[in-house]
Amino acid sequence: MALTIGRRKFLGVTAAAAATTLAAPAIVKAAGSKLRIGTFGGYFEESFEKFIYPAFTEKTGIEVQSFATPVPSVVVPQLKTAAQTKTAPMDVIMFSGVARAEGAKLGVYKTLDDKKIPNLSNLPERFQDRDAEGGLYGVGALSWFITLCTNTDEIPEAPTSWSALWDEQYKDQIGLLALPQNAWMLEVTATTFFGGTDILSTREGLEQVFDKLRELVPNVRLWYRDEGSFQQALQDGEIPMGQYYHDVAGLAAAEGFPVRSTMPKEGGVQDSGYWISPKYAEPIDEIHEFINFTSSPETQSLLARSVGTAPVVDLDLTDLTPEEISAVTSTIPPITPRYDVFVENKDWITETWNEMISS
Amino acid sequence: MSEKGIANKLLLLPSSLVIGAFVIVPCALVLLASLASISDSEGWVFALDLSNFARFFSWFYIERALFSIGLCMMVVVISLLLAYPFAYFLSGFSAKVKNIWLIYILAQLTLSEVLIAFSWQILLSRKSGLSNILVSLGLFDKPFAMTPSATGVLLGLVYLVIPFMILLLYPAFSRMDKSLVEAARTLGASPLRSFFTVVVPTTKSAIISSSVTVFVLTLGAVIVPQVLGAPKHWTLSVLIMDQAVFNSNVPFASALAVVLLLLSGGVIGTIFFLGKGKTA
Amino acid sequence: MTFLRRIYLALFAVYLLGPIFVIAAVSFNAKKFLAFPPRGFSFRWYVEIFAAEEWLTSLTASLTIALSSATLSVVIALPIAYVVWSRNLRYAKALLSLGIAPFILPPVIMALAFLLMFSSIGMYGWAINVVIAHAVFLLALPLVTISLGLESVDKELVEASRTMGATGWTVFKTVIFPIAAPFAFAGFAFCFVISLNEYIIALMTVGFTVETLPIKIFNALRYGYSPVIASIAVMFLVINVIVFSLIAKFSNLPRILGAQE
Repeated sequence: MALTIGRRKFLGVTAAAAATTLAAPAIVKAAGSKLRIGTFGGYFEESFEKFIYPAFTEKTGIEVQSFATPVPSVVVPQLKTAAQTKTAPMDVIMFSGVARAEGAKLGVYKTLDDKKIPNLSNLPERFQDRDAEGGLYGVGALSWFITLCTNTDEIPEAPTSWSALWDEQYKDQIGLLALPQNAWMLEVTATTFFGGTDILSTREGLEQVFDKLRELVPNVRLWYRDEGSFQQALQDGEIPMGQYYHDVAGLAAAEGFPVRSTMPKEGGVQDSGYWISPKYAEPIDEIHEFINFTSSPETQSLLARSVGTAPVVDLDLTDLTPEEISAVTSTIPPITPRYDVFVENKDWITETWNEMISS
Repeated sequence: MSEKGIANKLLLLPSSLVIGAFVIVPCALVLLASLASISDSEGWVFALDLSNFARFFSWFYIERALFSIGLCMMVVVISLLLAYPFAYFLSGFSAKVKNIWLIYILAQLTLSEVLIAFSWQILLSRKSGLSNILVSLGLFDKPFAMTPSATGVLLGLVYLVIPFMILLLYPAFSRMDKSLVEAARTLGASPLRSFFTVVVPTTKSAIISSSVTVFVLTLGAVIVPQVLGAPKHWTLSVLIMDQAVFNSNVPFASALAVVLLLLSGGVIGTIFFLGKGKTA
Repeated sequence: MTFLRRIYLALFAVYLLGPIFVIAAVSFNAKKFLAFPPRGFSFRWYVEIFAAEEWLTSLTASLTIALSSATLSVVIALPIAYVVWSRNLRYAKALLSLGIAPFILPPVIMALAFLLMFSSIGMYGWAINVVIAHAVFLLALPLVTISLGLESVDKELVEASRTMGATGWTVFKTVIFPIAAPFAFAGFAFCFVISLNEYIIALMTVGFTVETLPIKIFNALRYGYSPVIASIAVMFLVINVIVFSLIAKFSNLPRILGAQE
């Protein structure tokens, strides 16, 4: 159960932080000598404090001051204010994909030194964020999968493709996430019907994909904002199919609920968290040391086991067993969200999406 | 006397500062932000930009606004019809019974919107909901889920506001001269007739003020429409929260907030105006 | 007519109390199901509120915030209500209306206003934000109750004690305060419970650094339904009932609500 909470909580866009006391600002300011690391709050931050930071301190002797960050939409303007005064509210922060790209446009991140992160070579290119000049500013921290989840009582034969969502026999029976920036249904539609996400690069293409996506609207019974209500409905068979989190569905199945998660042949959606560092953060060596630490196969395995996240390094490098691997990820190439497309067309996508789901 | 004047001003100084800094300034900021422009390199900057308001004038947002108003009006009418007789009877209860009811109604009134929304979600669900009762009464063959639906949103919102409705109507009844009703009855009016000719007119201003309060209250609800409704049942308040929290588009959120403010103001004004017109 | 009246009252009571009854029943489920009627009987979901550290932290944070903001709100309201009553100054009356305004507006507007305010002065996520925000948002409550209380103070009595040489402070302490205090307490209590239950303003001022109980409930529900939510709803209702019973005991509830007895 703990894992369940942690993973969903990490969704970031909506994650709220752990309860701190009235003294919270004092802690943040007094951090001083420790490396100040911010992650999405709640169980997720707690797991980092419990499993990851102690391992880091043991290995490097660097102490960590952990705290929960607000949602990125609040942090980004804050980083901007801090950059103007040449200060940094924290040293390393975990960001969701969209916020990462937004902050990059404002130029409030530190450019990291590749040479100080030897483990960077373990990460595929999509987990290394670079600006126009090739400067590194974001490094993948962990990721998770959204897959096609079904109720085994209602749908005995597992569907194999995302296209099942469009199947007319499921009229008024499926559940999808309600926010475009965590549902990534444009990417799913593009990959399933248009051979990949390249089509999303132009407005024309986006419109084409939206047209296709609109066809499944009659099938949607629930556009969910709170995962709890979808999981409840999926377990009860009230809503027999929908998109959901791979590991959470796995945990529900392990608890005996008639639920299964299928990695569609087009791939599951792999969404990720990235480390960034504010422009004027001072302990440069420690920052690189920490990012190097989390980019190592050992730490990625530890994350998979203790927090339930999918590794951002090549699976061959990890010592995860096949069971552990299938619990958090898959060997099918994933669908990667086009954060750039969302940031570039944010207002338009949000509006078109909202109009679509409320029709 | 003038010394007293100064003393009074000093007495008011701290409160004035707080109200100035935390009521006037924040509201002014919303107005300013609604005119700000989005900028790639700055986030957003203050300007005299009407584009945020221009964005509101698309069918999508106008439809949302009309829906919000329609929904609020329905909630007002339903809760008024339900609560009015109760408030009347409440004023006639013995002091002890009255206190018990008042305590309960206040307790429900202060219950978090979050809790009410999720309680109703349980109540309307297939497994543990009301439909099971309907099935056991033989009205339906098998239980069914009643959310997400417009009915769900209405049920949740009415439940949310009904304590307010009761508590705003009840003082008017307590002040009402009951002998008037009796006089009407002695003069041969039927109970219903005396109700409509005596009771309703004397509580008119309470009906107006409670309706306005409930209207604005419903307009501000953010959780119930999200939890019990489908996207087509989301109100302007939900969209404002989305823009501010998830899309970090503060200027547009502010513009929507200003629209919401004008709508509430407009409705409050209209209802009071109509109320006055009729009395005159 | 009496028969109809009884039926109506019975139905109305069922409508108000029925949902609470169902929620209470769900909270006693033995297993982790939101089943009604409950399967098995257990108190474990009540134990969990106090046993699980995360819930207890939220509860403590919420109680601290509610107590502080209610106190602050009464402290701000008291001088305004007092000067309006004693001097009827136009300025004080303007302050009174300004103080009531935030409570009348849809809360999401004030929430956005506070978010803008605190983020533009760089106080993001400070716990004190929600204390101030709630105190200001709920200012209308102590303003109204205290004004009501002062109205019932006999002005002639005040004048009489003044002519007999009592200082302003003595008059306040011996004549005004004893009468107005229960009403101030009522205002305090109203603020306290509403702050405890308030969601949207708390979310937009500190929602990402401090998890108050309503925020925690909302987040917990997002991550999976558990009867602990039902037990918390029941616990909240009980707290609310206790607070209002105290008000009813120590002052005149119908009068505070504006009724004439």
